[in-house]
Amino acid sequence: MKDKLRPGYTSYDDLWNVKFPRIEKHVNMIISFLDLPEGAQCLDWGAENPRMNYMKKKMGIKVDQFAPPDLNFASYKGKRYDAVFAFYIVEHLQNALWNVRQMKNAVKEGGSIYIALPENPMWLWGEDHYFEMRYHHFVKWILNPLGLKVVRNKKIFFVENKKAYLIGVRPLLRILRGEDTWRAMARSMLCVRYRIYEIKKS
Amino acid sequence: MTPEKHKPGYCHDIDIEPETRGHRKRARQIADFVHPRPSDSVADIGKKNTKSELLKKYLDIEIDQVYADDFNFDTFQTAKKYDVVFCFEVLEHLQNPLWFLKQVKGLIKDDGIIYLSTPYRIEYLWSELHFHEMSHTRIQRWLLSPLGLKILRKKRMRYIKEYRQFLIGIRPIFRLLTTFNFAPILNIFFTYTFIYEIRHER
Repeated sequence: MKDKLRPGYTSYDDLWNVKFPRIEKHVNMIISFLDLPEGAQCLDWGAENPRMNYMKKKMGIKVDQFAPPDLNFASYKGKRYDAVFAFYIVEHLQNALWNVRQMKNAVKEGGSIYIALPENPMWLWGEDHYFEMRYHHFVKWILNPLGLKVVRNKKIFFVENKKAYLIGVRPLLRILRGEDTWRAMARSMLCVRYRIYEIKKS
Repeated sequence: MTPEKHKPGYCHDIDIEPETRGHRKRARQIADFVHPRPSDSVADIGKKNTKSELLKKYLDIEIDQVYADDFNFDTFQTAKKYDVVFCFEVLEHLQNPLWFLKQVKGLIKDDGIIYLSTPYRIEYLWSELHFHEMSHTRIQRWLLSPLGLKILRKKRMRYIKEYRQFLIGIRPIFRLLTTFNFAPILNIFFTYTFIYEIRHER
């Protein structure tokens, strides 16, 4: 683990570890966007992760998790919440419309769904991303068919660990050996663009 | 379909047109790739269309049409299992492609074949009616591998466009200058559709 944090290495273990200032700054951007009523009941889409634990601690809220074995085919049948969070989930899923429909089922009337999505050109898509939808595409293909509307949205940037690709010869060797990709390097050089949406039933 | 749309300078949806040279050429290309035996049971996904009628003629086989109201959410399982299932230019329109392919997989026998075709272009050239156009590597990785399916053969086909409508008269130039949309003209030269033969992974 220690070795992986040295320049020249990146790992998914540290992707959302808020002890790094750049990650903490990013998560704080999300927190500043949220507009939750007092004592709001919240549901987070996906498995528990360090980012959500940090948000819970900082905002003093209780958040339930919806983490079935396969989100692509999971149906939500449970209690309804004031807010549903789906941060960096939808771009990994092949059944995006299905999932957003389940989120709609999980939110109360008047409640909000908060979705954060990367929106980069296709050549910059992350290796583990199925589809990074841009604003108009997301609204046209996912939200409109479900009768959902965007109330607010905000562009945010995520600064990847530049040092991991810039210091020393090791990053280059790693790419030449096929352990890493040019695309991942380009993603770290350029700021990866995200957008966060507040969505309500229309 | 209004006569206006047949004039040069207008773009129209080739699939809902009466039989054209483009349809015949496309059906020929498909007929050269698919090899159903005369004894095979064959199904086509979607409603009856010009292409499926031409294929019946060229291949001299009976084709059952299998369809649902909404391919994104409906199950369309039949009591009968098929040796061959045709699925031409459906996948790119769907927001839940994994759900759809799971249903298609349920239609074939254990040693059955799916013939699937879908276009693949750069994002700028995507049709407004297409949710997502994918390369064969992305289809294999994101849609077929999770379902235990595999591409065995593939072929690239030129999409036959009525090029005259973009090249004859002043109207195409006028439309280009008013909309600055070069995609329809570029599509004449760079639109390719790929057809795949898909089977169960052994």
